[in-house]
Amino acid sequence: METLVIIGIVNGLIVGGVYALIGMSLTLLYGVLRVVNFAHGEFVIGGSFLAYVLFNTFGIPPLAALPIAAISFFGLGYVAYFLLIPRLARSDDPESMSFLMMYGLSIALAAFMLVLFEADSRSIDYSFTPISMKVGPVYVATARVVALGVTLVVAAGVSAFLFLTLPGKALRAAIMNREAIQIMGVDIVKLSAFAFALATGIAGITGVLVALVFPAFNAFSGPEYAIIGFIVVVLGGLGNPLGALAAGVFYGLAEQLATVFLPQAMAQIVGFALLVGTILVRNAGFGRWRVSR
Amino acid sequence: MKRRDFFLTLAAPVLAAGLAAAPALAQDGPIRIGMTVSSTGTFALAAQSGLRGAEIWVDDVNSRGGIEIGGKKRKVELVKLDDRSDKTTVPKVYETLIKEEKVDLLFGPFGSTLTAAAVNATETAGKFMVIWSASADSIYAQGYKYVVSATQIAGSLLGQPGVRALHSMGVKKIAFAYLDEPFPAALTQGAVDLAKQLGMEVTMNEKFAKGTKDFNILIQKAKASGAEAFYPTAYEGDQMTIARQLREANVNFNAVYLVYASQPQFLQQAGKDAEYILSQTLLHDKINWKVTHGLNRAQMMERYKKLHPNAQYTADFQTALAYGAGVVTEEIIKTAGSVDAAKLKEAALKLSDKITTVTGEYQIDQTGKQFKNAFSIMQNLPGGIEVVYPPQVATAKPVYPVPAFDKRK
Repeated sequence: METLVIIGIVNGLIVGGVYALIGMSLTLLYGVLRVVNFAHGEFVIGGSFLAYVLFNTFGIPPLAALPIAAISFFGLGYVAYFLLIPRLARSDDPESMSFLMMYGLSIALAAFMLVLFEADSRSIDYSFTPISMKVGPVYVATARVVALGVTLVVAAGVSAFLFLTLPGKALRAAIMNREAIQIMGVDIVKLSAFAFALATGIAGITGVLVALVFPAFNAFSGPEYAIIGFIVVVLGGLGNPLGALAAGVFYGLAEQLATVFLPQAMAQIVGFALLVGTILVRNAGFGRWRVSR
Repeated sequence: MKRRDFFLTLAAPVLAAGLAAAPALAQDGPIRIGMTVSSTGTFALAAQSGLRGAEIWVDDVNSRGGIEIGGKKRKVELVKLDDRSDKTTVPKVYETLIKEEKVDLLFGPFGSTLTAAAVNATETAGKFMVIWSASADSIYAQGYKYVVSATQIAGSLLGQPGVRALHSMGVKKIAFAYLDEPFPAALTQGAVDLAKQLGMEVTMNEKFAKGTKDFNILIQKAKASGAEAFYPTAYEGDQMTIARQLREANVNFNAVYLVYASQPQFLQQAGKDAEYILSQTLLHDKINWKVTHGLNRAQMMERYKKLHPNAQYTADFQTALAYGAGVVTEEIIKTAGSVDAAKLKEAALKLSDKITTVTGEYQIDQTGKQFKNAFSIMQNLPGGIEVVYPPQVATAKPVYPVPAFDKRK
């Protein structure tokens, strides 16, 4: 049992790291734009497919695919912002319309990936050498260790950006009070486009990590990751990127440890119980950012 | 004569002629067989593989002029609608096939989940449904009158050849895990029952929910249970993940049994993860039944290439199941001489044990449950896939225990 608990903790940290990135990018988007991005899971899986194509067509390994995914998805997000979001501003009820539009985008992106890759599950037939390494009494896949390292670097980078740079501070300010920063002369359109691009870029990176950690994916895997993202966002506090990071790791640990002590089928129930419990008991989530602003 | 009566007098013979002609047209026109296919979702790959098999049969039967009913040959028309792999959509789509498309009989959708959703609609309308992939025993325990599983062996029997094979290799302790859906659950239940009957110790039997993405703990639990063999059952994607995570976690069992591990899609995507894994299939170059009806395996494969030159994958066992179901349907319609549901069911029972198709022998009981068409057991060996069980069709001896991951080249 001790070994299982250690494996549960190690897996929880790794899997939770991936969940944390999904949650962080989703909550950035919500915080700045007030858009609930139902298509976020499809962007994540898009990153997985990009890694798949780069490896199978050009022989580019997943680690080298990370910067390509980051840049291409950042660009994609920037373009997508101007194609989609300004139209919402012309609606009488932009928040409700954003639900419908993003849900539609989710379906459209899944269908697009279906056309490109058909319905079957894909997996990148790539392994690091050695394929796994012994950490104490347990073997951990090298791919997972790499994924954890990338997660830490990305999380640290985004956190440093948010807290140490002027654009990052502007993003945080936009999350706290969108109207006030416009009075201060910040171009909210440019800032919003940047937030959308940043969130999509992180989703692209996460997709490559998904292909490493959960090897099989298909055109319809997106909603599964979007749901996890929403749980993490709520647990971490809406619009709180650091809260989402902590919540992702917490959720991953809870899910993995639940499978140690409970039947595997209970793992998802534990996740949803956490979501419902958080909403009922402490709807500000982990973070106090929004509460104390 | 009033003007209204005049028109009625003129119209009456025309209407009468029209009404008389309607059934004649129906009897001369093609036999319309309705089915749903998943263009999207979890079941899309398997459903589309199956559709290609059904289309081979339709092409073959129509190239022979159709099916003879009452001395006249009628061609077959397949009426397909999309079910999006959604069990809540399926009943509505089957009602559309029956009420609006006015099909004569139906093929089931892919899998037990969707078929269980479809069968209420077909039974309520009194229509005959040929099942080609639904194996869940529960479907055949509801007292439905007009269903027949033409080629798909019942779920409780489906996983048994694998257990027999593992038992013959010397496995005494076995761990099971399964996706919590009708097909994997039924397969595993039958396999667990047989393992116990054969005196094997079932060290674990645990289900997991749809959407589970990480199987590391499950794998470790199976290993910790002391099992010599691991028999997790789910669909392709989950099985690819399990195969990869077994290798990554360096967890070695004497044997691992993954139902889909000999499918072309699995082999293509899983690469080295697929080595030495045992699996089951109905369709392989080395499995050849002496067919009494329809095309044999080689002929079916040739027809597949001709009809589906652009299909990404070669024909798989779903293709064979659906093709074989078409062949059985043809014999049932011929024997019944009608498309009436009761007559078709009576004919289906009469034909039990009298047909061998590309997937094997056909045997049903009153419930429509299929008892034969047993799968053969394959192993992915370094030189290629071989049939390792049953001995009658085996082409190689199984490698047991399989080499540990760090001992493989």
